Amino acid sequence: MKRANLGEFEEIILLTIATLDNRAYSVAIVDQLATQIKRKAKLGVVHAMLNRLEKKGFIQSELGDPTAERGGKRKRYYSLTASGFAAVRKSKESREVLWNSIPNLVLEKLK
Amino acid sequence: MNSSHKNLPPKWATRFLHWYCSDQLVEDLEGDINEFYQRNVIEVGLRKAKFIYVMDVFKFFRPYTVQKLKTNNNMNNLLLFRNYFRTSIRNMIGNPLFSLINIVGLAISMSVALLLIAFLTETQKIDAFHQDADRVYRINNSHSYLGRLNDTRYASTSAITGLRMQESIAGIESLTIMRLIHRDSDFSNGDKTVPLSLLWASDEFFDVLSFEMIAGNPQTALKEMHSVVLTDESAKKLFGDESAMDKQLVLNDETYTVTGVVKKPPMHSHLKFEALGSYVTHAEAMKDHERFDSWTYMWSYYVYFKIEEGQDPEVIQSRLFQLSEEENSKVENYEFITYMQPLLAIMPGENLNNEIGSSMDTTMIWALVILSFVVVLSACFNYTNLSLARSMRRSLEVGVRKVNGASGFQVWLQFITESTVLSIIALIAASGLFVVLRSYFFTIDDSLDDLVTLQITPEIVTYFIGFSVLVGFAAGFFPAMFFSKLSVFKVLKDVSKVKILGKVNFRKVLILVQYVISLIFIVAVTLTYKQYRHALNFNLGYATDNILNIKLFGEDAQPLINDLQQIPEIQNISTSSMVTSLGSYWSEYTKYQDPLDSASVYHNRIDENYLPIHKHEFLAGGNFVKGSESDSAENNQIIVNEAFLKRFDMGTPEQALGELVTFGGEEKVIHGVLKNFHYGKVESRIRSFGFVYGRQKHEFLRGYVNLLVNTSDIFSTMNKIEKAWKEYDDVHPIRASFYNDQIKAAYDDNASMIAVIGVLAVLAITIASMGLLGMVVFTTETRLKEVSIRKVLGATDYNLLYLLGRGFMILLIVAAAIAIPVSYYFINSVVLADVAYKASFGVFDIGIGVLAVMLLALLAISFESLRAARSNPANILRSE
Repeated sequence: MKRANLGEFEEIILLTIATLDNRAYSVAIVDQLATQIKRKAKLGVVHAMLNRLEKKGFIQSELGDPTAERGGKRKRYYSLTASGFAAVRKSKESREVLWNSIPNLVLEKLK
Repeated sequence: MNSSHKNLPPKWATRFLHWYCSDQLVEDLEGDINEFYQRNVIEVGLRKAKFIYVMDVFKFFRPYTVQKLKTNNNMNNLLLFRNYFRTSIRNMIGNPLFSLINIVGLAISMSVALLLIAFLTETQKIDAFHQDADRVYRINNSHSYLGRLNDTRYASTSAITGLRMQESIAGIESLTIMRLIHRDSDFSNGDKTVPLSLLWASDEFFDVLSFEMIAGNPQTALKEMHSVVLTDESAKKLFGDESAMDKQLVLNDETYTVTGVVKKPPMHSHLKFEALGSYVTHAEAMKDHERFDSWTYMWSYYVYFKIEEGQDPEVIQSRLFQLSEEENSKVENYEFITYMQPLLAIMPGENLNNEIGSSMDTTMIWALVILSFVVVLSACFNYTNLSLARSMRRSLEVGVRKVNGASGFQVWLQFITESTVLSIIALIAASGLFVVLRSYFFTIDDSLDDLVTLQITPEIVTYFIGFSVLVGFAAGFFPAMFFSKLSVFKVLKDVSKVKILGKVNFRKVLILVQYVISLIFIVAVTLTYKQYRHALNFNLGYATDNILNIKLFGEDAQPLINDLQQIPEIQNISTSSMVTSLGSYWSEYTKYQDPLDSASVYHNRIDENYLPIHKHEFLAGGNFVKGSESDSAENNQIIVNEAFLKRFDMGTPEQALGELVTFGGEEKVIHGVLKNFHYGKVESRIRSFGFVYGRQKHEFLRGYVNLLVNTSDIFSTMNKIEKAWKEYDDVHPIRASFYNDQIKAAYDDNASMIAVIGVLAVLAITIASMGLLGMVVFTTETRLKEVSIRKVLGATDYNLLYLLGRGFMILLIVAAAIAIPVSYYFINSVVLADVAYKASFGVFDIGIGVLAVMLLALLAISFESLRAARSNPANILRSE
């Protein structure tokens, strides 16, 4: 059973993967989160989340080529699937709808 | 590059990661952790980085990372097992003879083992119901006289041991002294008299042993004089449904009060009683008796005690040795040693003299365990043998399995499964046999009924199943090893080249072992049986025919004798204190001229009719003559045997007449000399012996009345005797048996042993013969073509029989050559080593059993071989 809406962290991970294009593997995602939105995430948490998203079919993964760094182990690169992209887009759209429907008066007040 | 080696993360952590992590995830996960690690080495230093690495490895131990493959594997294994199971069943159905031989063999051997398992499980429970049973001990005694150690150990000890322990040994929580009364005590409630087995027990009895009290205070019940505690069963006998508490009972003209009712001692208790009397009563009655507080009187008292929690029993034992030394220094000639025997080691336990109740010898049990183990092993050999013999047919299957990716272990597992399935099927059959065997088992020895039930409990069922799995494992181990190591190339290239030849010798050895075992069994049985017959028909040196011995219960037998004399079929009546040749030994220390030279002399107290009835043969002198009642001459007379003269160097029988000896402290004059006769069982040598005269006034002569009966209608005579008994004693049922039956009963132990080994022998032979039959069938089948060609070329039936049977016959002859000397030696020098009068074993006695087994084997060989030899070659060679 797929949840209709994405969780906040799920959404962030999905977006981060999208920002990294085809260089999105777990460590890079952790780094990206730290540099781009100053969010410190533990590798374990990210890893678990990636695993969950993959199971849900929002992302897919493939192993890259082995490199000399990280003990010669291959990296697992993630990318968004169509349903993954649809999910983030839907999330963005619903937010925009809400943003757009905030009356200017209120916006002014909150600033 | 050295430093980079050091920079590596902890290896064990990586290994752990690989162990738990699923294959799909492990590579990139390890890479990720590694990347962080290398980053950390630079940022926070090597040590901390390593620490973080380890922590990370543990942190990733999560449900989603852990190998899911495992469950897949299980599914796979399950499927494989189903396949193994199916193959096993198909194989069994496909080879009915093979399966039948194995299942029947395993089933019969297992049924014996099951019986033993049930028996052992139950004996482990004996006495375990007592609270803190592991802290309860009993005192055993052994003694030496004049420095000669008597190597028998006694379960009894002196009363004074208990008293001394109470006052001088620390660390004992509670202690009870008991006195066993060998004959039943007659308790009366008004007119109703009931004989009960009574045990005098001191007040801490219930602290040491937790028999369940129904009424009364266990702390105080045995404190006061003239207190008695009854079991619920005896209370019912005496008082019916009324409460027995605080009621009065009369025993030996003294009044006792019932101070407690205890549940009848459970089946699993070595100690059984019907009434407990307060020990102080006994002590008061005995206080002037010299034996009572004598350190050397260690025949009738028992001491049980519980040590304090955490107390080292070794310390108490060493204190006991000290105590013995102190006491030994006070007496002459004797030395006593006291040992502690754990309560749980009493039954089953070492064989002790003067047991307080029934006993169970551990050596006997171990012997049975080993013997049935041997029989089970023999059945396992059948399986191993037949499986290996058929290996050629199955190696193709194994080859194909291996080509399809089965590992050696899986093949191994398959064959183990197969043998286990077979053994489980055999277990079902064995359980049926077990029930049959169980009822037979109880007939072996009458006392078994009171010791064990052998009911099937869930616990025992678990053991049964565990055992059969074990048997399956043992049976299938060698075939499984063989098949798992089989080389695929060889098998698939040419099956006939598979080296099973190497296994031929192994198989021969197994058959050899089976037959050696069977032959040893059969020879052992025939020899022990011969010895048993020898003991029963032994010429004792006096007559026992038509003599009926009636046991007395401590009353003057004169009224009974007067009544019995009216019965015409009774030719003569005598009395004696004991019945000889049944294994009881009464002895007194006796001296002749030399005051320092004393010997223990066996004796029996008799009246003047005893010797004529038993037809003892006089060498010199004559029988006792009944004289006047008071202090008559015969009271001082003794009639001795030849061994007595020899022991004291008295010369010829005529010379010995009139000599004075000191017998048990009394002066006696030798009145007659008898030819040697057997006083003990055939196991023991004839030793010096004396008959002394005793009259009914003496309580110790009130042992037995011996009747010489001459009747054609034994039933009516017995009725008359019983009637006379009823008039004389209406409390105790009559206990009369013919002398010859008593002798037979005395050797009942041997008879049961023979019965048990006999059954095992039959089983071993059956199993071995079936195994042999299977092997013969197999070999003839494989050689059928050869046989046919030989036949076509003109071989006769006998040529072929010789060809096929020769190998097996040689095997059998070798087995006989090994088994006969081994079993003869074993029986003659180990089992019967202590028997003084052995039967002589001839070639026939040994040969008969061997011949029977050989004939059976020959029958199996020739039957199958002849069938092969007589088969029509045309039918067999046609399809070639």
